[in-house]
Amino acid sequence: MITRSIAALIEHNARTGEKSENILTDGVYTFRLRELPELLDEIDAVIPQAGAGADSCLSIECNNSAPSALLALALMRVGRSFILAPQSVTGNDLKPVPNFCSHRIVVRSRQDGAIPPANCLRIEENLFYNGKPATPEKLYLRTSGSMGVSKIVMHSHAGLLGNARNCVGKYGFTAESRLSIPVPLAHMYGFGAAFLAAVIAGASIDLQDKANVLRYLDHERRFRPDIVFATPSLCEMLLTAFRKPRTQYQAFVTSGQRIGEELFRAFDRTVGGRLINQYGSTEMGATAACDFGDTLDKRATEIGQPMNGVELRLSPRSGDAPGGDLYCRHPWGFEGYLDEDGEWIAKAAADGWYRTGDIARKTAGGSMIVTGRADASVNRSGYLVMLSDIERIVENLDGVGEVAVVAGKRETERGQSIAAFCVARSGVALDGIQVRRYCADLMPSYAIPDEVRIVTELPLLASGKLNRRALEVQVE
Amino acid sequence: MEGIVDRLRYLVAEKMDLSVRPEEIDPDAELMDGGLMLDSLALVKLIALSEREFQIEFGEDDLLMESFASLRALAGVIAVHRSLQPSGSRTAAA
Repeated sequence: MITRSIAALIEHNARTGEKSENILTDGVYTFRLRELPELLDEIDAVIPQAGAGADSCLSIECNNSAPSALLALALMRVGRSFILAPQSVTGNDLKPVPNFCSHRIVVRSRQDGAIPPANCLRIEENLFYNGKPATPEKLYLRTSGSMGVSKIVMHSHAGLLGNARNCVGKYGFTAESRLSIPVPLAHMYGFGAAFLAAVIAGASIDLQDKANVLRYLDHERRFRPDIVFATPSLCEMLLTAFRKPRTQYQAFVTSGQRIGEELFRAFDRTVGGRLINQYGSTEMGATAACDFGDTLDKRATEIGQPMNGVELRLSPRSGDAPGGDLYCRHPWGFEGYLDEDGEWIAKAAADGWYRTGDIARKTAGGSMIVTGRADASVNRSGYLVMLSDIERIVENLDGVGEVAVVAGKRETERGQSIAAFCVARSGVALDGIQVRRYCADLMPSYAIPDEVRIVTELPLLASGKLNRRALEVQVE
Repeated sequence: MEGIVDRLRYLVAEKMDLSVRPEEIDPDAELMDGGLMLDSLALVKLIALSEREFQIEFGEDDLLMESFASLRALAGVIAVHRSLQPSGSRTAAA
């Protein structure tokens, strides 16, 4: 494959006969790829007008709209550095802007496709900007799933394109492909594996904002996708909404742990297209995936073949713990973690090996099966939720003295169940419903414990450490 | 029609964990964007609950944003379904 810069790709797509007629749509806006260079020029023009000089980093709060996609492409085209953050569901509360960004750009939702995309951008100066000049051609993402202080992950534009090229090769995207993207553009999965890969292929792209089954069906009718990137929970919801079998799909590419085999089975039956579980992370991007033609058993359990150039290895765990720590070396992996001031927290390891935090074992055929997380976490609605993050929030609530959060065996509609055991501060009457209500204000809905029990004390081991097992038994 | 609206208000209030009372629900409020702010999961639940409560099965032609714009809009879709359905099949389904 010819390696092109994003600027060259956009020009190439705009001029190449059939590709140039392909579209980028979000249901409100529909653009031909040949219109893109001019639209990006218009976006380029409004940013300096708002006072954002050329050499600072920008903070982008994007939704899954065509204007958001165009803004990201415009910035990449000129090699400008930016952090990509998802908008809150209501679009009202703004995200924290890192101090190394000079401006915040919020992409506003429009219901009228006649408004130029450049007019959807609300550009504001960051009053806390520390004056740091940007390192050019970087893209920053916040680590997902964390509800406390998130780390900022640094990628290079070239690395992102390398990652996306791997996905083009892996999934066989071409200019004839029609990709629907209801997963957030602000995540590595939506932006790197789906959107940029589609741009490289010159494919038609359908973005879906605030995805739900009704919007999905609406876009499906109008756009006729053949490949869809969807969270496990959307895949499950679609199975209940699809009332007749489909024939048009090649594949649904999802990403998440503990996806039941039943979902894979139901997909093959109802959707016709194959369900593929892509293995990856914000740090490494797309790491491995099964092929569309792999058997159902393989697709339901194994992480599949590593992407081009990616190496995986297992490192023995301490004691007699089963499985090994899964390490990954990726030619297009991240460069390191930054703090809010743009200072290094840690650079990616010099030898390139990254500890994924997953525990895995090797099959007889040499493939990997992820069996769990090294740190306690659960997958909820497709998001990785660290139990320690929930504990950190709950222990700061009014009236809570101590707290321990454990995962239950029960499967809820959001994923594995979560239970919180709280000890009230002395003299405080605490009730579980109240604690859950507080949680609703402080964490995303998928992270709220399904059950909050008020206990007089937490069970301890002889060592004085918390006896988590004793709590887990209670919620099994 | 008002009967269906009231039953839907009851369903949403009692079965959907939204901490509202039936009488507090405005049948003309938007279900998703603004108004009741149902998320994607709640929407799927509402579809399933309505089908069970009214013993109907929505076709894909019913699963439109417009059909679920408000409880009143949804009641309209349900009313059409019930009028088209032979009464025998409803009893059989029960």
